[in-house]
Amino acid sequence: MGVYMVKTFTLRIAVLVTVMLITLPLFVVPYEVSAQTSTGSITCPYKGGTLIIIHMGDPKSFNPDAKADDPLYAIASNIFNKLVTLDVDYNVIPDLAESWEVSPDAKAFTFHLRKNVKWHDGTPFTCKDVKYTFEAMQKYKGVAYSNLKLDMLEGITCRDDYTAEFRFSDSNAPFLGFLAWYGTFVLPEHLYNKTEYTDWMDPNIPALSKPVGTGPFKFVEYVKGSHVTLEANKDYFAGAPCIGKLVFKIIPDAVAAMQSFLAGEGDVLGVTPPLSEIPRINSTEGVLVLARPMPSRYFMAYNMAQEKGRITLNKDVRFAIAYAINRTEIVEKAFSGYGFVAKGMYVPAIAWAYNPNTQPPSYNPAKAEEILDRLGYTKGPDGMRRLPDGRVLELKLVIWQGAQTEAMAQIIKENLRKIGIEVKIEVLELGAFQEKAYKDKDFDMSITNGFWGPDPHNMHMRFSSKGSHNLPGYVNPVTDDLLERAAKEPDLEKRKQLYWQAQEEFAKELPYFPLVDVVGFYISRTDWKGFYWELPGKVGINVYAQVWWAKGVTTTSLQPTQTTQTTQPTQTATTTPGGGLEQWLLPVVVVIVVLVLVALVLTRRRGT
Amino acid sequence: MIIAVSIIFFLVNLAPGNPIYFIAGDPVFLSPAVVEYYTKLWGLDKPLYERYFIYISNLFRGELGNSYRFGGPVAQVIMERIPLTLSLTITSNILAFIIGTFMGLRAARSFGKGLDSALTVTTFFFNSIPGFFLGILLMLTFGVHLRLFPVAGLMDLRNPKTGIMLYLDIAYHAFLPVLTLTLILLPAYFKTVRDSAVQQLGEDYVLTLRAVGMDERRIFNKHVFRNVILPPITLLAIRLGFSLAGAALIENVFGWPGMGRLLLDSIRERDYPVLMGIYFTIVVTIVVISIILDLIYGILDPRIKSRG
Amino acid sequence: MVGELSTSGVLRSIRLIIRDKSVVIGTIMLLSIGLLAVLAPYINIPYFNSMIFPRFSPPSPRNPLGTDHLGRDILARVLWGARISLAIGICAAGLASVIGIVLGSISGYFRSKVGTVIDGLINVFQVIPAFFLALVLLVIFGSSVYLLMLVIAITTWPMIARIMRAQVLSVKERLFVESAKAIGCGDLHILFKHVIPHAIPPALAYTILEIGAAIMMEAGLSYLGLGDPNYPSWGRMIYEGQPYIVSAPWISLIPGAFLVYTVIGVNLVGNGLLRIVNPKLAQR
Repeated sequence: MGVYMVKTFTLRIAVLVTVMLITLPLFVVPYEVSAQTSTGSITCPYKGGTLIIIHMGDPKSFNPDAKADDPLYAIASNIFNKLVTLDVDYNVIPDLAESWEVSPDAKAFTFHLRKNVKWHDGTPFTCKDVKYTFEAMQKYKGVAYSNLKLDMLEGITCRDDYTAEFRFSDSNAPFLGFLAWYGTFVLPEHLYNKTEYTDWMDPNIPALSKPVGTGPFKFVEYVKGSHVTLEANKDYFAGAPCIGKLVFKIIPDAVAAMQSFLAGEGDVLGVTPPLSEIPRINSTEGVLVLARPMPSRYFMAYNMAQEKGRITLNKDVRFAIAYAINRTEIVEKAFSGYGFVAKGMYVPAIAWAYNPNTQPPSYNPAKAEEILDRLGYTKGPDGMRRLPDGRVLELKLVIWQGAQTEAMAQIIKENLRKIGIEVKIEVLELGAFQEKAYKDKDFDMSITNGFWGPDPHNMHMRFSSKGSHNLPGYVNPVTDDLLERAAKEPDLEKRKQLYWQAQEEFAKELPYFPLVDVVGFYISRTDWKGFYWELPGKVGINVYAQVWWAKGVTTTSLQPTQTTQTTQPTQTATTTPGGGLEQWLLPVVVVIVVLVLVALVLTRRRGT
Repeated sequence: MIIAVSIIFFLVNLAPGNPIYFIAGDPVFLSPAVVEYYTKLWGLDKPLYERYFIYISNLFRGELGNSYRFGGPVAQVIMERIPLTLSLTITSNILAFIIGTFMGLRAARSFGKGLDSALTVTTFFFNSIPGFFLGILLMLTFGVHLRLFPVAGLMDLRNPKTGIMLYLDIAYHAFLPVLTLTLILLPAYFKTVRDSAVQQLGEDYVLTLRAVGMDERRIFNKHVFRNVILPPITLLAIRLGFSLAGAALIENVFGWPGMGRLLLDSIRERDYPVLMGIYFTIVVTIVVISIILDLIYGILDPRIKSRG
Repeated sequence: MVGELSTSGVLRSIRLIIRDKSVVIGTIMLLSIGLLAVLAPYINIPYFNSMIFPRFSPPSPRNPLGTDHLGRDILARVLWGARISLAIGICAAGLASVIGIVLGSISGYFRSKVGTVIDGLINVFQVIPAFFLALVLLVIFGSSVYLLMLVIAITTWPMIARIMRAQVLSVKERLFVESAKAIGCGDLHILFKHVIPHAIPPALAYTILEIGAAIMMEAGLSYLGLGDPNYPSWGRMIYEGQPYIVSAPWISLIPGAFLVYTVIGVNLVGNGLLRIVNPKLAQR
């Protein structure tokens, strides 16, 4: 009996304690005050505050040049600098290099570096850091290795502490564009270049987990799966940032991210939400949604690998399929209208190289039917076309897993069903896709997306037989030659002509069918201003150095939004989701009371 | 156990999708030089059986290798996530165990009558709902519409707390996932206890005790209880073993950064070492717990038989 | 004895079944869904992939269950989904049960090397977390309806095998088996003609429950995006509706409701059968 009493008692206590532990935090309201004073130079109408970015994922490490690490990119852009960088319009603007010269044959690039730049630990930044970074990139095959054509790099010379010269064995026309883009952040030589490290990803390097850069924000902490916190670098060469802290809150799931943002747990939504939700987000009070076209597009590649009997090798078939696809419907349904029917064989967003005279086929199902009838693919009794041997004409469409691509695939399947072609969709997750689609080429059609900038040399990678990323497996000596020559041509006008010719050829042969040009979204709270998309030409992509808390300045013209404590730098009122204690105090109390009663009831019937 | 590990090793390595492609991210960055470098670094150029032997020998030395994705040691990567998942699964299992047992006993006591039916039906319902669906429902109701609990994540980032407040904050964020898991796990405990209790009540020794005039409640609490408690404990132990793998879907729904998420990500990105590491951990846990279980059974069983 | 597969036994079981209310309810539920599934192609509903309606419409007279993000009618999809989900569930469970019954019986009957090997196989497969294995397999091989059936079957047969083995072990000891052996009947003959019919009922009951589990597993796998995109299985529909869960919850919730309904039905029937087979619990 005694044993049992004890057991009951402890069980009862356990239940109560658990209940209490779980519900107690609900009664706590958090407060935090953080004020910043800064000796400023970036004009800061208001100083202080914490900006929270809802972010897409965990960084793999803090070396932004070694591997492709999309989640790291935005974070690294605030900790590090590149020599030159891209602004929101994809123009090259100065970063650590104030100015530069390119030799007429595009083999030598000289950069004049800023003086008086310091690393976050106080060490001065010099040409030695640049030399180390790019030589390491060459040695350890950093992510930008092939873009920058580092296999052609003969050497980097430091003429003095602030002049860096890059020499290539052959003409490297696209160099600047790619230098401004990805995986080209300058790393601190004094922290990386030690003989005891095997390479720049050696786990013993402290800078790999506590990065040190030259950028506007310093690293504070990283809690895996949760967040990355940065704080303002008061000695930043362009002036101290206006905000005190920059936090990246990691929520990879698009819906959860959106929910979190709408609940006030973030100030910038860095994860693209389901596009159908955009109107709702836009009409939320205090939220601003901006859209900009981007040089990214979704396109469909036909399988162009030579093989007997492959249907997609027939140009007419390719055109017929293209005529049958209703791209407007795709934009409306798969993108909720936020996108553009793709124009031209290259992206309009890179305006200088875009050829407006070469357009892919537009929606014309009658023509599609006519072509297929003419080719002899007659329709059977079920409405589906038959091959000469009597089998149903069925094509395999391979895509990688994602809400967008899957929606597009469904629409295309339905479009083609209407003209009598059966489409089997195969969804692979990304890794399997890269193997089966790119390597094995086990598809008739495949949809993917991609960033087609910052330089039209991107076309070489995607559609030249020597390209590393030739999804259709397309081989055409004409385009191959045009693209090779364009990569070596230093004169911009001549390059443009070559790319225009290439686009003409692509439009004639249609090895790929451009589908939708992507719109990029910038979603933020109106409480904040100074984002990089508002400052083209001045601030690089993803850099939050110039952001300031607009709510703190009552005289500027802002939309009237919910008034909260106006002088607090941190929005305390929007912290607790659902705002207001009173709302949930009552139900919570009821829940606790009920649980306690239940526990008491259960335990009373027992033992005694 | 070794066989199990080996099967997964071969499967995983045979999977299409070269992890090197992931290092490059957008394949635009890929070039033969890069591929070659990483192939050598990770020993992927060695034939499959050679890699197998290297791996197994490393395993025996306790060495799990380095993650492809993160570059750091696998053990560390896993260790960071384990506590998070365990806090979910252990808490839920214990809660489900406690509540389920109570409910099961009460139901057995009023077998065939109102309370029994009500409880049986309720738990039956929860047994038929997929975990993730329940998670979605709860998230919608409590997180979105009633705004009672946070929707995702581990803690409040705008005003990060420290110390006790931090723990409470995490507990707050954990409430919904724990609730979901508990509800899903409950029915099994309930059923086991109830069925077992009902069976016990039909046993001879109970009739004897009743004939002797022992108070019904006492029969129940002292004797039946002891015999009934073993199956759910077994279940608890087994479940704890599987717990590391179990919560993946729920973690996905709530954005809880535990091992489940790590697992899914590793599969997606072909981070073989981490994948194998997780799998190894799970298998080891299960096996260890099974062994412990057998031992406990050996100890407890004869004692019960002698009392019965 | 109850639970044997003889004509009188079967009749007695059926009588017991009818008396058990929960099983009756379950059967009705299942039949209703099954009927809908079978009749789906003949009912006058739009083609499940036609995108001719306005997107995101809530339930209305024109679309009784609303439309999804591509403008497809959800009622049509749910009915076709019944066919798919049920097919996957039944075939997967069936396949698992065939494998499980065969292997379980062999391992239970032949205590020799063969038996031990199969024992080991069962143990190994039991240790591998089912969902995990399914995930890896689907990621490797892509996904399709048939693959899903196969994968689910592969990961769930051990349970059935264990039950079968335990049953065979006990039946093996019974007198009539001894007599059959004495007469000189071959082992295989005894196994298939005498032992299995007596041992099988719990395994069969469990198979029914497996159908429910298979349906849920398919839903879970589809939820992660590993389902077959060419067909609207319920799990697939929940997955597709995920991003819109807040603004258009019916896209996910309706197939989910159908799923829960079906699984409840399956579980009621399966549990009922189990109760019949384990008579002790049916007493008192």
